[in-house]
Amino acid sequence: MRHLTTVLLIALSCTAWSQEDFEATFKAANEAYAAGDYAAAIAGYESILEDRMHFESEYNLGNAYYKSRDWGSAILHYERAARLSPGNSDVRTNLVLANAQIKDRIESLPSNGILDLWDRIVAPGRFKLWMMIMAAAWTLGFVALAWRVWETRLENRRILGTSAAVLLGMGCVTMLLTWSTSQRIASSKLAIITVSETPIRNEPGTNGMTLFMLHEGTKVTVVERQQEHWEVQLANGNTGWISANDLTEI
Amino acid sequence: MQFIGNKSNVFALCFMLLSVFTWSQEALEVSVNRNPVRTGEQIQLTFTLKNINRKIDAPKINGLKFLGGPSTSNSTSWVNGSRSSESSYTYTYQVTSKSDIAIPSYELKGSEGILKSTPFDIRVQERSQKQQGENIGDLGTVACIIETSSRNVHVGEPIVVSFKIFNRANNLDVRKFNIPETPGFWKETVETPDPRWEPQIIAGKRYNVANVQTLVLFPQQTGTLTIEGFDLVGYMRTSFFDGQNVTASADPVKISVSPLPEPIPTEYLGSFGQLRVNAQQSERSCKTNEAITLDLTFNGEGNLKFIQEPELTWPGEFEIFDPEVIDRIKVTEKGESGSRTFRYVVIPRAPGNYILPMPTGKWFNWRTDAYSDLTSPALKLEVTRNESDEGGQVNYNSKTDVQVLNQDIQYIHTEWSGPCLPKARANNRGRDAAGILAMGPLLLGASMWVRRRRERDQLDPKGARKRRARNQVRKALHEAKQLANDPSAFYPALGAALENYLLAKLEWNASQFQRDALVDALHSHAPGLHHRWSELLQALDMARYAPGQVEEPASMLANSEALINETENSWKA
Repeated sequence: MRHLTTVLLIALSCTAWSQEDFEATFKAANEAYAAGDYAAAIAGYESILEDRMHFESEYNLGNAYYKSRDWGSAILHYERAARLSPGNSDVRTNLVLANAQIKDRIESLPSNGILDLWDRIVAPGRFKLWMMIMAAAWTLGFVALAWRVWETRLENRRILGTSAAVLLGMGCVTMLLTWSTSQRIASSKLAIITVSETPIRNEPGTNGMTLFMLHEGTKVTVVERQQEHWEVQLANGNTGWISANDLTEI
Repeated sequence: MQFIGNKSNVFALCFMLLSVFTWSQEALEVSVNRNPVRTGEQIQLTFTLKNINRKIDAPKINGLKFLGGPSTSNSTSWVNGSRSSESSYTYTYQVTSKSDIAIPSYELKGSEGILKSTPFDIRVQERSQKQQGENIGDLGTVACIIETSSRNVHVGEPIVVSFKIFNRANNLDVRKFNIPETPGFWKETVETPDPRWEPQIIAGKRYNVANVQTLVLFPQQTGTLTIEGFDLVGYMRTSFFDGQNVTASADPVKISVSPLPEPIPTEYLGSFGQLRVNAQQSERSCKTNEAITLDLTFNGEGNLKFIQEPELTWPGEFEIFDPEVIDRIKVTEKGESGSRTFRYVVIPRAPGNYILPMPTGKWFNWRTDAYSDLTSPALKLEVTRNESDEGGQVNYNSKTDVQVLNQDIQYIHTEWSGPCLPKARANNRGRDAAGILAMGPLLLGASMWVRRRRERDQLDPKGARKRRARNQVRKALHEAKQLANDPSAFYPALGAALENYLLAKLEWNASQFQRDALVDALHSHAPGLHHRWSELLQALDMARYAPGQVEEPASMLANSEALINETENSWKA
C-alpha cells in the first residue's frame, strides 16, 4: 500500500503528462480501488481529471466515492460520466443506486406533450449523434454535387442532383438540431448538492427566509448567479437561492 | 213560568250529565319489573298515574343507577259512563347495590289531595359461585344453568359447555335468552336440533329441562377464564287471561386453564386426546413425469382444524403442488373428533427409488398429561424412466423466483480507452463543427476548379502542354537540387530536365532532338537566349565526363532557373 501511494504521489508530481502517464495513473488507481484503498483511488482519478475529460476515470471516481459513502460526490461524477457517454448502462445502474441513498425525494413536474418530445430530441446526450449525422449528410451531399460536376450522363446527373438535395436538406435539419442541442448544453447548468444539508432561501444572502432544506446528492438546475449565491430550480419547479459553496456544477 | 220551567229543565239536564260523566278515583302506583334482582342487572321502574295528568321525572334512588327513559304509555276508557285514564312512565336503572334497595313512598298533588305511593324494597341477590350440584336444590321455579365438562384444563384441552333452562312450570314461554361471549376460547358450536323440554328429576322434584346450546371450547390462554352469565326472559301464564314475566340468570363459570408442562417440544403439534397419522400413496411405482397422490391423514380427538400443513423435505427430483386439505371433522356433545387430510400431487422428474417424507412431531395428550410422538411408517416409491420422455417431449422443471440478496454498484472500468482530452476541447465544439461543414464546399470548389481547368486545356492543347512543361521542369529542377551533393547524378538529371523542357516547348519528339536544330529553333523563338542555351547544354555535356571543369552545381542550377524564367518571358509562340 505504501508503495502504491508512493507511486501515486510521484505520478501526481508530474506536471507535463503524456497519455502513457495518464494510463499508468489510471491503472494504479484501479489497483488501489481493487485493494479497497478508496482514498488513494480517488486521488489518482482526480489527478487525471484535473483539467481533462475521461469517461472511465469519471465513472471509476464515482465508484470510489460511492464506496467511501460520499453520495454527493459519487452522483456528481456519475453525472459527468453520463454526459461523456449518455447511453452507458453501468453509469445508469450506479446512478440509480447512488440516488437511492440520498434523502431528498423530488417528484418531477408532469410532462408537457410536444415540449417534452422536443426536450428529448435536443437532450444534451444527443449532441454527438446529431453532429455525426449532420457531418455525414452535409459531406455526402457535397460529394454528390462534386461527382455531378464530372458526370456526363444526364440520368446520373439527375440522380446525383436529387441525392445531393436530400442529403443537404438532411444536413440542414440536423444542423439545426445540433445547434439547439449545443444551446441546451450551454444553457443547462446542472449542479449537485455536496454538503449534507443546506437551506434554500427566498433571496440571495443569509438573511432570507428558508423555503426548504436540500440534502447531499440532490440535482438542481442553476438559473442565475449572483456572486456567492446562486438561484437554483428543482425538478418539481421549486426555486430558491443557495450558497455557491454548497453545490458543484456537473 | 214558562221561562222558570225551562230553567228547571236545564238544571235537571246538567245534573243528569254530571251524574253520568263522573271521574274515577285518582291513584299513584310504583312498580318494578323484577324482584329480586342481582347486582349489575337492569330493572325498569314504572310510575303509574290513574286519572291524573302529571309528568313524573326520574327519581334518584340509592343503589340504582339511572340509565334512560322515560317510555310512556297512556290509555283512556269509558265504563258505564265513568271515564278512567292511566298514564305510565317507565325508567330503566341498573342495580349497583349489593344490598336491598328501598323504594320510598312518592307523593303527588291530586285534585282530591296528596297522593302517595306504597314504599317497597327490592331484594338484591349476589351472584354466587356455587357449583351446579350445590345449587341444584335451590333452583326455584325457573333457573338457568351452565354445565361444563371440566373446570380445570390445560391449554388446548376442550371443554363441553351446555346452556340449560330448568323449569318446574308447564306453561313457561321462553321469550329471550342470551348465550354469553367466550373470550379466551376457540369456540365450536355443536349442531343440535331445536331445543325441547325433557323431564328430569332433580332433588326429588320434577323439572322440564331444555338444552338451548352446546359449545366445545378450546382455551387459548392460561389463567382463569370466565364464561359470563346466561340470562333468560320468559313469560309464565298464571291463568287464561293473566301471567307474569319471569327472569333467571345463570352464575358465571370460571375455568382454570393451566399451561402445558415444560419443556414444550420444538416440534409441538397441539393438544389432543388422540392423534395418529396415516399415509397412503396412490401408486407404489410409477414412471417419470407421471403424477401420483399422497394422502397424509391426521386422525384424532381435539381441535384438528389447528393442524397445519406439515413441513416435509421432499426429494429434489420431485415436483410438489400445494396440497388439497380435506376435513372430516365432527363436533358433538362429546367434543371434536375426525380427520384432516393433506392430499399432495407428486410428479417425480427422475428415475430412482425414493422414500416419501412423513410428518413427525410431538403432541400433548390431555388424557395422560404427557407428550406423545407422532409416528408413521415410511413409504417407498419406485420411479422408472418414462420411455415417451425421449420422444421429444419437453420436461418442465419447477422454477422459483431468484431472490436478490444484496445490491451493489457495477464494478469499475479497468480498460483504458481513448485519449484523455483537455477540457478546453469541450468549448471548441463550434470550431470543430465549422471545420466539418467547410469540408464539403471545399471539396465541391476543388472539383469545379479541376473540371474547369480540364475544359480549358481541351480548348488550348498547346498551352496545356507548355504549362505541363513548366510544371515538369520545375519538378525536375527540384529533384536535381536534391542531388547537388552528388555531381555524378546531379548533372545528368539537370541535363535531362532541361532537354525535356525544351522538347515540350518546341513540341518535338525525342527523335527530333539535335543540337544544331535546337539552337536554330531557339534562335527563332527566343533570339537573345539561344547562345546561352547552347552554352549551358554544352557545359552539361562536358560535366558528364569531366565534372571538375564546369561550374558548381549550385551556380549551374541558379543559372538554369534564370534562363528558364527568361525563356518563359521572351518565348514567341
